[in-house]
Amino acid sequence: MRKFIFYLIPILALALFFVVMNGGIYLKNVVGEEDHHFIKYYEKTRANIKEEKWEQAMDFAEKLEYIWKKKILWIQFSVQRDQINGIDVSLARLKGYLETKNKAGSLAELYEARRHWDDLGR
Amino acid sequence: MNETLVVIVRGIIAFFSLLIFARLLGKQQISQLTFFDYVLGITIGSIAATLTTELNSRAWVHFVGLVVWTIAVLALQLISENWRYASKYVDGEPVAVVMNGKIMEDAMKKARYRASDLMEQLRDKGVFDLNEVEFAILETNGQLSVLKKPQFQPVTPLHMNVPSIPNGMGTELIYDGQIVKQNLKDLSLTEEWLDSQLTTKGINNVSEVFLATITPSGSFFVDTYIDRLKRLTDISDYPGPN
Repeated sequence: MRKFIFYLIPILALALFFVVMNGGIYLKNVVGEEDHHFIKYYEKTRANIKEEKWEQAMDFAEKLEYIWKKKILWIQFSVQRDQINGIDVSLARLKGYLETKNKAGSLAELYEARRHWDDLGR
Repeated sequence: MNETLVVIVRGIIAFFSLLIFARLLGKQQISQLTFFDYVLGITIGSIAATLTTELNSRAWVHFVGLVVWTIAVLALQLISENWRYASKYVDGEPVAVVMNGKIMEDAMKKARYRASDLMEQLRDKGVFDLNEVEFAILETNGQLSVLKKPQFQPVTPLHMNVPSIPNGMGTELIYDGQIVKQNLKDLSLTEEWLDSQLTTKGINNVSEVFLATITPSGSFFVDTYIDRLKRLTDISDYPGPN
């Protein structure tokens, strides 16, 4: 029994470390309620930018940023700091472009945020 | 991102991973490490440090690096253990730098071992005259093993045909003013006997004793807190703070 525990403790520890270091890939899509999904608000923001509905686009962009801030708490142990900063910066710039009603700039920032999102935890 | 929290969590992961992997690799005394083992240790430690503080890359990639190096070392250990040729290839072989009293210059050159290194390591072994050396072997861990010529070897009771009693290892009877009752019991000794021994040394109370030991041959050593030395030997050779 003692020998079993002797081997079990390091195995459990390594398994826990694996989960902490890789959980971000899984957690980024499941943390939060159904309507708190990053992709859902990304799509809504994109659609409104394309239709040049700037006020709605800004609302969704703010919601997107709020969701993103909540997700950071869960995924920060398993992703790169640069990727987190990348999404932060893209979302901040996105709001700037939306304020000035710049379609090309806001779409570019939104797509960049999406690219960082897809790469998170990989 | 709370960087402090992330570094704490990654530090815990690195610390315990390193502990588990070090236990997996087995126990080797620092003095037994070959140069390659030493470099491996530094590399694995460095990866663990990077895992903790390099936040611009994922912890997982560093952890994988740690696992790869550990597996590589483990594989090399297993191969060396089971295949002598590989062991020689990896760890090298001991080199005789002094043979029959003659310095082996070619062997030293091949091992990139200088005469000053030889002199230094001989002094470390208490040999100050090269005439005393019959063999000196440079081991794979960098230590020098020295065999003195017979005329310079210390005389032992065997040479003199004197019967000898094994000394054995000293056992603590009093430690920091307290009697170690377990040791007294193991040696079938009593506190009365201990008191009588202390009295013969002029000690009236156990609390005056810093350390008391006894060997299986019966040699009793006692040291008190108050050292009544008439003259202190100053081993310092330069003025300054002590």
